[in-house]
Amino acid sequence: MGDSFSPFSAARMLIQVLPAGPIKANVFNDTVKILREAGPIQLRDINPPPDPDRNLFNPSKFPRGRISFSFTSSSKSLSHSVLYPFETFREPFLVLGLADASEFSLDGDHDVDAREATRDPGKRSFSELNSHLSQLRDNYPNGLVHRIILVVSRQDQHISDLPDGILTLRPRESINSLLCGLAAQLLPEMTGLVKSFQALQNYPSPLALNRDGQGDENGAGGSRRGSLRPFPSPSSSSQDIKASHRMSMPVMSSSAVSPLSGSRPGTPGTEGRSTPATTFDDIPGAVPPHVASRISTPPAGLWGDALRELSESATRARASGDYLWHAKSLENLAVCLLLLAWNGISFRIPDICYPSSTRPLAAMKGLQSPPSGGPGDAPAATPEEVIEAIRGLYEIIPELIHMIRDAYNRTWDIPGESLPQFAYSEINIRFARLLVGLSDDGHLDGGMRQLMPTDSKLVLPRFSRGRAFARQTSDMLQAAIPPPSDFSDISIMDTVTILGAVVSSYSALGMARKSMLVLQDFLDTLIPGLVQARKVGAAEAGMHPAAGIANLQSQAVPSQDPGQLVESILKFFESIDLLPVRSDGQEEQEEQEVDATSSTAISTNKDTKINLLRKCIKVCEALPDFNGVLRCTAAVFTLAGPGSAPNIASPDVFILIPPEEQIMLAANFYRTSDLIDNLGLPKSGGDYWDPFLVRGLEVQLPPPGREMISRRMNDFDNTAIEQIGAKAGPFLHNAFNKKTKGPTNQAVFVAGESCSFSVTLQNLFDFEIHIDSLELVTSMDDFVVRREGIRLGPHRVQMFAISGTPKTAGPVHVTECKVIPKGCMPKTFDIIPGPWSPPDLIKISDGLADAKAKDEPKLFILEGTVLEPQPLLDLTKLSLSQKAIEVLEGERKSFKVTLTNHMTSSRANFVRITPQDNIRVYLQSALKERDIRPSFRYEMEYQVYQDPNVRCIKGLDQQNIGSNEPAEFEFEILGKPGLSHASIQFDYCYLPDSTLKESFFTRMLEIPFTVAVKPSIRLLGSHLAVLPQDPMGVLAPRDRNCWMIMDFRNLSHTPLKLSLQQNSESASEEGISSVSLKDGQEELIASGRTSTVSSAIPKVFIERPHTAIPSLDPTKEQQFVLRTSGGAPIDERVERECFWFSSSLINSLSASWTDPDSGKSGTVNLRDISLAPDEVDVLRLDDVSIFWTSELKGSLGVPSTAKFKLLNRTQETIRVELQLYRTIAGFVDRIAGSHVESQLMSAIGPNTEVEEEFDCMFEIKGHHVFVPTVVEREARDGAMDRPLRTWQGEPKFVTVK
Amino acid sequence: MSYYFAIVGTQDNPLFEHEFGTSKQGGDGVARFREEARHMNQFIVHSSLDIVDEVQWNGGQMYLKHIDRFHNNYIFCFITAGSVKFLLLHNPDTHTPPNASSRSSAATARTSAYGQSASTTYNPTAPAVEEAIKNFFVEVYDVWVKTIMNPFFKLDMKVTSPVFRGRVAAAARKHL
Repeated sequence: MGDSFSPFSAARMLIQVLPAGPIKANVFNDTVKILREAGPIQLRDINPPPDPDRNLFNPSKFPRGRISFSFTSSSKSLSHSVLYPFETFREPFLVLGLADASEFSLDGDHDVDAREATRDPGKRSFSELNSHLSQLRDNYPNGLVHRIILVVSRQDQHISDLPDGILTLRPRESINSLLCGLAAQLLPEMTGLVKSFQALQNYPSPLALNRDGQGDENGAGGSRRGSLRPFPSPSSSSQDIKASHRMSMPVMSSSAVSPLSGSRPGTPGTEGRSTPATTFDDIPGAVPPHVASRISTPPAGLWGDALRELSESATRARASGDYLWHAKSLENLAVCLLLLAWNGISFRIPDICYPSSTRPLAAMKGLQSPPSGGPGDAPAATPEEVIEAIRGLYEIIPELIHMIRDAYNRTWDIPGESLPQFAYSEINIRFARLLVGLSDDGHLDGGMRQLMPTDSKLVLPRFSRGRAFARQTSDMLQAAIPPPSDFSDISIMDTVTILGAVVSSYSALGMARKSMLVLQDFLDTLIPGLVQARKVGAAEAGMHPAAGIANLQSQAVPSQDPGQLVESILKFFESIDLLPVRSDGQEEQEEQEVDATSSTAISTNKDTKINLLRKCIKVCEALPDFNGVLRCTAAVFTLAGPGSAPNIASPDVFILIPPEEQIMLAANFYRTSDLIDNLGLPKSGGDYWDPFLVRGLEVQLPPPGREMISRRMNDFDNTAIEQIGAKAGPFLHNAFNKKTKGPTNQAVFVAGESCSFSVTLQNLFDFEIHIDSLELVTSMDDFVVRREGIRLGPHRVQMFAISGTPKTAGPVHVTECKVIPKGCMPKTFDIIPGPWSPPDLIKISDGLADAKAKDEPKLFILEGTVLEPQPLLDLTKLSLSQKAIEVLEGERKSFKVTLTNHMTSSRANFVRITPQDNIRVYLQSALKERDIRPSFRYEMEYQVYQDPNVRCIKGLDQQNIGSNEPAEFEFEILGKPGLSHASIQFDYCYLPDSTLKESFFTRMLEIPFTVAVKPSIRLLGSHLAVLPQDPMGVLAPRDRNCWMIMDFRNLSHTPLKLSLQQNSESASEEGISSVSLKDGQEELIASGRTSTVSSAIPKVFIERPHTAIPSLDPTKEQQFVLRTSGGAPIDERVERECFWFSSSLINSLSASWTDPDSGKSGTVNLRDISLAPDEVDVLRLDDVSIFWTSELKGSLGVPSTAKFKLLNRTQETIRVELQLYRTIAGFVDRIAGSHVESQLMSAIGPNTEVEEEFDCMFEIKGHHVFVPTVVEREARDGAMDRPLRTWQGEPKFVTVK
Repeated sequence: MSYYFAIVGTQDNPLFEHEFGTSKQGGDGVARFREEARHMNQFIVHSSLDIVDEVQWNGGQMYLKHIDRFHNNYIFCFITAGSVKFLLLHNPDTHTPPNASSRSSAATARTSAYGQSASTTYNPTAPAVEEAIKNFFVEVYDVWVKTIMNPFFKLDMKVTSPVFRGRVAAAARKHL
């Protein structure tokens, strides 16, 4: 990492790596990578140089020291190398050429005689290598050691007789030993270099060198530095150097040099300094503080001397007003101190490091680090001491840096004395990075890490950020930003690298917003440079510079373009070490860096980010990097989008970039994507910008007849069926009449049958989005639902149909959609139907966000089931023509339905039939009303459940329909007024184990047909009356019968014969021998005529006529009903009585009609009969009846016996008293004329008859009236008590003559 | 001498922006930013929030004085107890064309980078400058507190009141 921005770059040894001879790019890059990964080498591993004259840097004196190398493969820039040796890291000491051994043996393999062949071409190659080596020496005259490394990739390759200066690198060979060997050769050369510097009496300031390139513009400076010649190499004669050097430098006293170089040849750190001002720098390779630091670790005393020399030279420079060298000395001194401290070597901070020499001595001592143990071999300091020393050092570091910068700043005012802008910027950046690296939570760059001691267990203390830390660091970085280019002489490449380093330093400092501000400048500078470089490159390739990206196809392989600018970008990326350096794909790193910046800084401005990304797109176009264009464009859209899911109904969101630009960017995006495809380049693509792309998923209903309807076990409650009786079919309440609702997230699929979904996609932008592939992610591997080639229109929410076929049965769920938008990476999207926006984060401090209060958008998950293959029934035959039927009222007709299962793979093993008609539908809806009088409710329920209009009479039990087999069903329809249409619904399915589960799914087939009902005979009205007096005895007995009159009207066009029947069973149940109506009484009623039929019907006994009116629907049964209507109890009582007597009457009667012409027959609906309360009284039979069983004989003075029969119809025992009222008409004498004879009877059991007798004597002539009366008595301890109820028998008249 | 004043909410969102020029030394109170620099003001002020985040913990002061600089723009900050920042960008450039004459050396370039060529005499830490800006901030703070006492004002809501703007402009005329 040849990095002039690293604070410790001065302490590292720069090695230039170049290709020498033919070598493949990947071999070169791999080798450079291996070299870079090698750690620092220990001095103890280096062989000491044999020559005592060149033994200035004797590694054996500092076995614990380390040398850290930095490798660069970039070419040197003239503007930078002129600073050598002011800044020693500007020029490499060691130049390595890399050659590939396989390239040389390649020729030999073709020969038959392998051994001879390898040798001959090998020799030729080695001579070529020699020429390469000499070429290296010519190109890098400042390099001390030039070597060529022959990379041997095959272990068995035999290479011998290598000339000098050529080394081999075999696989798995220790790279460290190679480096140690190189270092052993380098150190003696450095001795020579140092000596050549010592020969100099003074030294040029950098600007003198700078002049070389610029020419002399400054008269004053020019007169002093009259030389335009390039800076001489160390090998130049000292006379020439002297002549060319500025003479303003204080001439180094020879006495200062000689003791250092002569008396202490073993102190390399102090060694090289020939002039006080140049201190380290002039010891180019010789390694001032840096090399010294790593070399001279053990002998602490020598370090003391080194520091002393440094401080002396700095003091001298300050005294002579040479700020430049003063600052440089201090800078290197600071590095030196840090290295000493970290390595645990005792040292004393020189006075020159303190801001003012007038600083009180006490204060100095207080800051002073471990008491120097004298120049001798002091024992290594304890960790506590070292930490204390480091703390002390850290305290003065900010002050020291301030001082150094101050010194540099003072050079502005001295014409010809100031640093070039880029060097000044680099210095500032180095300091800033040093502070950041030392501080808490700062991060050390690679160079610093290598120089930290690794072997000790010492935990280095961190530099604590003071109050002024942020300001100070920010100021330094601010100062490092080069001024606008028209003011400065700085090249684009330098500007770019410096700005990049400032950006990365701001990032390291945690100032994302600052870094982005500078990053804009960086990209602004970079883009024209890149464009220019591409034009130059195109011109070199023989193409017109104006050729577009597409025409550069042949050499458009990104990141292989070896331009100077690209190299500088590489350098830039090495300088920022946010990311590991890669030798290719530099532009990716840049974007990653941008991404990192933009994502970490939550509070940075979106506009700024978009602005940056726009520039990144331009950079990528200029490179050209097509994938980078895709990624950056996608990132722009991501930022410009709202980042929330708007309401689908009104997706009005604000997009940060105007529509025109969106369209332009999108066009460019898709064009680039096409280009990548056409060129066949590897495509990575961007991340799709809208995380809420998929806004909904619905299952499309299959075509009618194929959908599966959910049923529950409760729909088939068998107990309810039994209560009602199977008359109406097995199902009570029509679960199958429920219509399926719209699609929900519960989906049912059938294995082997295609199913389709509709996916809702949203596009908030004003351009069309191309989607390569849309696929649902299902939990079943073999259930693939995919569609390709979708275009989502601009600014809309659009639904797309997508279909697939499940293969196996089982549960399935869909949680996500996998979408491949064109030009983007494949991505899975959650399905987010509802609107959502991110919660407002509360910023606590320093960009920390409140992370816990996050609410997630509600995700949609489609749960579904794949069923076994299901049958599919179809109507193949219907015995109704035109699907219509005509019936007369009360007539029953039957018809046949034939169904066929069309599926070859499955059979039906569950079939349910549900007839339906419009009256039933109406009644069912009416039944849902709550406020219906119970009698009405009962009537409606009767019609729905007990007397359906359509019912199945054949095939009800048929459950199995095999594949491709027909099944026949027969139905009967009953004509009722108002019936207009009806249907038959078949629900069927295949149940895998033939048992009903808690819930299952069926298919439905509905066969509708229309019904025309013609009128026949209708009951117009009815009335009940007491039987008239019947002296003739023709009619039935009055006490047990009543008179019923009914009006029937024939509404048909033909005369119909009416016959009225009485259901004798219901009458006999009463235990009364009913007087039968004229059974089978028939009457022909002409068309349109009304006929009145009257008949005596038996009275009815109902024991408890006040029980609640039942409900036929078991679900509506209520246990305790006191009163259902809101009226008075008496009303309720009347209603209940009417209900029970009416239903009893209706059940006992039936009427039917026949058409004598056509032979049609039917029933007449008598259910409309309803009784009024007075009619109920007519119909009613009392609980207890009293009958005369023998007549009284009316003879004066003759006793007679009246016999009575008492009948208790109830189920209870009744205690009664029989009374006989006797009056004589015309008598008013109470005693003689009227009296009561009473006889106490014990009790009459339930349903029993008791005979009783009264003896009477007629003593008076006249008309005697006897009224038998039964009085119920309350039983109480043997005594008769007050009467409860009384029943009167029929009075008898006896005339006594 | 141009000023750009911004009130930044707790989410780093701008609540109020105002541009004005100096009214001292015969100024007419009209901002004279260079056209190419004007759009940068927001970016610069925004980037200064990084520094505000650091220095706000340094002491109990609400007035943080001069905190940042970008080229020739100086940023002053006043932070309220509710973490709302008043940021004042001061550009002392009097809109004279840059001195492109003889001093084209590196030293000239660097000093111009420091923004000291246009107004070499300007010192953001001079007591007079600090005091004037402090007075301005305090007066704006007074108006600000009255504004946020409005029961309809919510946190991080933009201030659109013309009265507020008028008072800020009056404070600017008075002190700057």
